[in-house]
Amino acid sequence: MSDAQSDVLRGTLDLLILKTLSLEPMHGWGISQRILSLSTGLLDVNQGSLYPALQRLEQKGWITSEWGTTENNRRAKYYQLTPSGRRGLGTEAGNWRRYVGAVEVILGTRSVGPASSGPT
Amino acid sequence: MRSPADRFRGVLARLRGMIRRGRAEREMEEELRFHVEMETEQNIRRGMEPREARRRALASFGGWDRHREGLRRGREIPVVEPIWRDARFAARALARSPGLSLVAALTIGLGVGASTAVFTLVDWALFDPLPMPGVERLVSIQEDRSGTVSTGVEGMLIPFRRYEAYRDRTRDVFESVAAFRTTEFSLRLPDVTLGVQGALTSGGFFGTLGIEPVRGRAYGDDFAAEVVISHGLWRDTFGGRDDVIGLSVAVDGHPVTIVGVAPPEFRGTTLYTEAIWVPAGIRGEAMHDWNSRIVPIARIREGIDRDRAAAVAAAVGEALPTGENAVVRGVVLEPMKKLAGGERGIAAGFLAMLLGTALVVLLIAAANLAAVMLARSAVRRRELAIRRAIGAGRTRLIRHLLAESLLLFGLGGGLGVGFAWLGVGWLRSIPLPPHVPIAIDLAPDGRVLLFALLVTGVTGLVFGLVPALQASRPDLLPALRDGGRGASGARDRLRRLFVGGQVALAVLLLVTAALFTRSLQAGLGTDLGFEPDGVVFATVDVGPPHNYDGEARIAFYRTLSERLRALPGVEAVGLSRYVPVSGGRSATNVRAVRDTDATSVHVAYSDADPGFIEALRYDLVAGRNFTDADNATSRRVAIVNRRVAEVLFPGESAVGRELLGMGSEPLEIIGVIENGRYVSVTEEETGFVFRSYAQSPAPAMGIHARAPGREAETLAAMRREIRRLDPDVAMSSAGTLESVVWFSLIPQRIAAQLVGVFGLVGLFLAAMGVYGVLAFHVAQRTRELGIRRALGAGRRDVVGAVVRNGLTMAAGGCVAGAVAAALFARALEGFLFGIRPLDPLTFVSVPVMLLAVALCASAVPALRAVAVSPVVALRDE
Repeated sequence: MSDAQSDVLRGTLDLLILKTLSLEPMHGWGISQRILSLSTGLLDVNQGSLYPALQRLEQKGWITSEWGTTENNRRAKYYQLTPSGRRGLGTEAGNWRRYVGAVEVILGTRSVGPASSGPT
Repeated sequence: MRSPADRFRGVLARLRGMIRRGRAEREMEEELRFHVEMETEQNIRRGMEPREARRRALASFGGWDRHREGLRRGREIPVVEPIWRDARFAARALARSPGLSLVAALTIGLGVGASTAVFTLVDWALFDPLPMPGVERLVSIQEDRSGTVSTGVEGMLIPFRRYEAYRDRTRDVFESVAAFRTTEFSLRLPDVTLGVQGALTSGGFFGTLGIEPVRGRAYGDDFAAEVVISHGLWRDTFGGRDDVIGLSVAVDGHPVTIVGVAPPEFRGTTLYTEAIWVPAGIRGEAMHDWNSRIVPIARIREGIDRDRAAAVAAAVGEALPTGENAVVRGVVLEPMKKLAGGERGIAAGFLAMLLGTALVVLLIAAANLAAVMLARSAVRRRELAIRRAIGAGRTRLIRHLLAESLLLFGLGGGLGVGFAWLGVGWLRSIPLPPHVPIAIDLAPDGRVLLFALLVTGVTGLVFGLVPALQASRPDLLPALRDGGRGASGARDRLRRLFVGGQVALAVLLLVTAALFTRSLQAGLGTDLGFEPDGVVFATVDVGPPHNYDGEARIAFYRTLSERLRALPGVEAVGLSRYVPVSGGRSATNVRAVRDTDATSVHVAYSDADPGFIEALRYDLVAGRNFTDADNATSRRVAIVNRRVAEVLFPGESAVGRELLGMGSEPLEIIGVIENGRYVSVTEEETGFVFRSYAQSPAPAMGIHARAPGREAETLAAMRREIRRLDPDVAMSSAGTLESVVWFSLIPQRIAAQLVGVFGLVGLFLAAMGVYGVLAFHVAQRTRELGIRRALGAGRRDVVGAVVRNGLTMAAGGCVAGAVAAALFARALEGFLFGIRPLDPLTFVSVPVMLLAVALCASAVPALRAVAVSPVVALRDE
């Protein structure tokens, strides 16, 4: 894993999964691959958190699962967004944007005050 | 935000997962495998060796088992599933020793069953609310006259006129005020006259209570010539016919119309079963006499608190004339209950005693189970140590052990509810004699189930936690080293404590049972002074509203007696003011001379005719019986019992002497009878005086007939003859004298039987406890005993050691139990009769019996210990 790749931040994984599934139904491995490629290789989803997250979302009723076959004719569990999941994606995305904006504002503030005055 | 529907779906998903555990597990495996395979293929496409590709795929996936475990947890329903898992684990552990588990559950079942059955009785008498809508707002208005609130229903009676004032002047705080007074009526029907228990009530009685008749309607006026009958009377006497509404009958000779039938659950406002409700004005304006008394009740307005209502009522009450030499100092509003005032206190005391003994049974059972669990955990020390060694935390072990106890308690509780059902059936089957109008309609309800759950849960937690804490103690190394064979001192002490405790509790129960049994025997063996067998009685009242005064009254009873005497099988007929030992009495102090400082003696008294002394076979030790010549015109005479004669005339003959203190004229003592029981079987020895009935004729009399073998026919004939004399006069309480004697001892009887059964169960459990501990001890010490035997210890030494061990446990328990029983017996003094609370026979024989049982329980393990062959014991490693 290169230094440029980062683990997905806790709390954002659900959002990423929902976004991915909003494009088309997908199996677990496909979701991780899709996130990796959509983020141009920057975000690598830890498998250990992917499946619990899927389970959690399913229990929340935001996604459902169904066994289907891949193009290579293998059985795989496909997840897809429910209407309430789609609504959830909207709210979560909004929350995320607000959060990122706020963090940006803080990071953009120029440092003033005690930091510049030290013992000479 | 998660909607409730989403949440529900989540729970459903988890539930599905729990039920279809296998399938969920398979799907999870498949999904994860698919992931790894895809990853592997991708790696191969990138040019890796297949084996390396798979290794890297697995490595990137991370800890396979950890993921699986995480997913499994995710599928679980929080709280429910861990408990479910513990329960299944515990069930498997218990199933490994099914016999022991079954006995343990049965034991707990007996304890829970006993206490729940008794609680059903408590619940019925004390907690079960009267079946009125909004009963929490119903109160009785009790006046504090001359500084004390009189207890019991009698003390609650106030003049009707005062009730009317409350009714009219408290509208701010009371929705309505009504009044009632329980009494007996003679109810004349077309073909029979019945004596029935009922109540005189104000017109608004049913409205205030909120009771709607199921047939017809209620009466609404104090002076209405209408009555409402109970569902029971309607069903039993009128066969549930609809045309009973509008039927003309007579109550105490007043023509009235039946206008309503009360709902089946309404049986009046007290413990007693009432059959008819009659407007108070049926006796006309007489109800406004100052001595016409009634119990006022009220429904507090919604939103008004009781203190405020009481203050308003008190202001009204204090301003009213009392009509007697008393000052009303305050008013108390008492919630309406089946049992009021002092009656409630007495019943609560007796029931608390019964419930206490039943809970002792449960304690014994629980201690027994705890001892068993301790023994089991000692055997399982190795298993537990291994489980700790491979990483089970202490809390987890405690949880598992506790789960086992709780599961046993749960099973026991379930069985207990079943046992309680049987117990309640037995309690219901106790026949009450016809002169006690109480319907014991016991039915386990929610409160009873809650009680069973609570006692099971609490005892289960306490008695499950102790062995669990003990067993999970981290004495890991020694347990692994010696294979769970070494004795653990603390555990052993705890177990002995449990067994000693059981013995102590068993002693307590058995002493209590023995005291009641001895009381009962004393009661049954009491010389009553008369012979009750073969005697039937009925009470008859020809006082107002009936028209019998002076001569007419005497003539009525004379004719009735003569007609009864003529019946086949009737040997003798007699009249007395009170039926013996039925509780009725008059009492006063009498003296021998006019000097007020002279020795006086407290006596109960009654009035009787010559036939009564003869019919009941009172033993005349001196003088003569009354005769017909002892009438209104002759000298006033009395028959006294030996106690009166001896106190007033020590060393002299009492016959021919004068007795003062009963009326203005002295009475001449004409006869002396042997001491006996007069008011109740369990009374202290008391002085007693019979006056001649003909010289002081009371309107209400008990008529007695000795007709051995023809009791039922004679009772029926009494009813018939009374109706023939006057169809408006009813025979009220009636029955055999033996049933009166029987009922007089009912507290002792119930206590002796119930506590006796509890005591036997306790004894059995304690014996099992002693046996269990010793047998376990011997099994654990096989090796030690073998070595001892090899070193030359004789059989006698080995047996002695085991038996001594058992007897010390039992002896400690006996001492503790005897002390507890002595304290308890003092509290029981009021229920005991004929013996002292510290009855020496009981306090010696019960501990001796328990020691004997402990000896027997020790014998089997002792013999087994002797049978250990040194060679086998030493080789057995």
